[in-house]
Amino acid sequence: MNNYMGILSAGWLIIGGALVLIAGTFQKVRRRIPELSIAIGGGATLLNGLLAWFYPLPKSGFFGMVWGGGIYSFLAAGVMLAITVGLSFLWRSHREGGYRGWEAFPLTLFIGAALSTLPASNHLLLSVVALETVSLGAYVLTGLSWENRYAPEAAVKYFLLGAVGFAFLLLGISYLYGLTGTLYLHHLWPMRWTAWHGNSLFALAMVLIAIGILFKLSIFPFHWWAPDVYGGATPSSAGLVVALGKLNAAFLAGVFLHYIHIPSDWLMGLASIAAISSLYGNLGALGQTSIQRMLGYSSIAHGSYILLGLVSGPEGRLQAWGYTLVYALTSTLTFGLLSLRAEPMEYKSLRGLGYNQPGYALAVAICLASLSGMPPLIGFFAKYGIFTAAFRAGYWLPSIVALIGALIGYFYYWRPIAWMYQAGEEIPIRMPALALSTGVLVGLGLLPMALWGWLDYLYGLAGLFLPRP
Amino acid sequence: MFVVVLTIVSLSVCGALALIGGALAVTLRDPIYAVLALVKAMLGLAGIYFLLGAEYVGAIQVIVYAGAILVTFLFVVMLVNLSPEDIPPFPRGIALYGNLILAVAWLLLLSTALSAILEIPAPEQVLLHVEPLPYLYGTLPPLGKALFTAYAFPFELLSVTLLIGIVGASLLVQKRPSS
Repeated sequence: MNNYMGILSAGWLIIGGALVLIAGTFQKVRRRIPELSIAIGGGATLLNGLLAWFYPLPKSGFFGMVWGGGIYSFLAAGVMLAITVGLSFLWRSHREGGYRGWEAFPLTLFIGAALSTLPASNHLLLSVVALETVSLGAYVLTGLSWENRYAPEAAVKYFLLGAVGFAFLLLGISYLYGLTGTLYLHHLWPMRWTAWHGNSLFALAMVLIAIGILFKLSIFPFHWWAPDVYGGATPSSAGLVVALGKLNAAFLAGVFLHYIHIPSDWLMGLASIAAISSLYGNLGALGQTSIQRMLGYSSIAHGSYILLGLVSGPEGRLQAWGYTLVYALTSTLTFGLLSLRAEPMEYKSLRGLGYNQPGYALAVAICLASLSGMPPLIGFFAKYGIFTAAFRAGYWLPSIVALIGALIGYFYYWRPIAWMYQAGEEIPIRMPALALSTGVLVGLGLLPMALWGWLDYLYGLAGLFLPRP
Repeated sequence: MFVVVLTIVSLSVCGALALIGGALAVTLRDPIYAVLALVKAMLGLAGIYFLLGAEYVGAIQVIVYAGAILVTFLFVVMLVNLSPEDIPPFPRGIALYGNLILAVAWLLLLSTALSAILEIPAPEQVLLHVEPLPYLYGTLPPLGKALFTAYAFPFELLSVTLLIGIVGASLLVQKRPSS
């Protein structure tokens, strides 16, 4: 009855985080907290990767509450890779000063525990608890910087608006519970949902849940917080904050759309919202001069690609999860590499980076190109998967509009690269380029078929392609 | 029949109490009065729990929320020593738009609830099996059993949520060392 595979990764991270928290109270060990936390995060990545490799068939455990192995461990491994990269950037800025205490490291490990549980959850209550745990940590990570005077404002805005979005989600799920009497996903799966279609209480529940998820995903009508929050967030953790929000929403929405049968015209409506959001985010990013604000606007656009994938059937949900993992890694890397100072930077302050620090500048250029969707990099394959799935699902018009948005994206992602290769004064960088993780990005881009094939295989084994009974 | 009518009337009274309390908590200018109005809302909620048969949750609602948490709120409000004059008036434009949006949302919600009551399908039409209520429903034993067996993992994860809250608060209140 009890299979502990589902809580192995979360248990490792929670116990590890608690030990780090205790170790930090000793003055002698405190200097080593960042390295220790990165080791624990890397260990969780490895552990989940091994679980996914050796147990491709997921098993449910803990009274049917949580899944372990297979696709769920794969997703957790991707999440932990992004979080470990985020931790290493926090380490750099922490060493250089200007940031609040070492407690941010165990905090990030706890976030990892909750986030690796979220996709594996088999009960909406557990999903909601995990989602809120991740969000709560993200609010704190937003306001870490002392130097950046926008950071506290961004953190408070994120906290208040995130709480509003979460309240919508919770209200919707409580209506759903009132309708069905259960929150176990395997109970929701075989229900005769068509009997509810057209019922206004069902419609109300779904609309409230959709508002909650669109809030987290920062899609167009519920996006207004994103540029302010991501633009003002602490530079070195901003990428992680963006990644956490997107992963949260994509996992919950993916699970939701798999188990609950939504009328197809509603899905069409969501796809249209995604298309509008793509245009809005990309056009908004075009006029920015601050790097972080540009990336904040572009996160609206990336949320819209994720949403477009999520509504395009089982194949689209697979692509959307893959896309979200890739986006989480890339955005953490990009924001982290560009956090050269403790306050948000303008494009023009990058001037000269390409001559003073060629390796570093190349890493930044590769990350930005991957975000824009350049062919040999993994960002391209992720986008390609999403748009193919959306075309196959029959969302012609929304896909074309979103594709136009993605093409606009090339303009603004390449502008910082152009600034980097103009002559300018020297920018001091005290840490060598994170060549390794950028190398991972390029490497993944060169063999995306292997990675996507593995994801596809695990996704199928978990039964997520199964047609509705 | 008499019991049903009595239940509906009491539910409506408790619901109205909770609603008025919540509305007063948002609109009252004096923070202390606002917290006291929130106590009223919590008591109304507790009454609803009692009437719906969840006696334990109702009792906890009174003890923990009305008793402990709101007293802490009251302490915090008194500690900060806010007077109504310190709070800047709400911008009029935002207040107007907010009220308009709120009114539309309320109308939508009410109309939805009304039409939903009329057209709700019978449970057996949708659900594959309707589970009977457990023995001693609404009291402590089934709740404890659920918390320590099936819901043990979400319960433990909630403690991580609280831990994040504590660690995050201690992070954000740190002052910059003056070196």
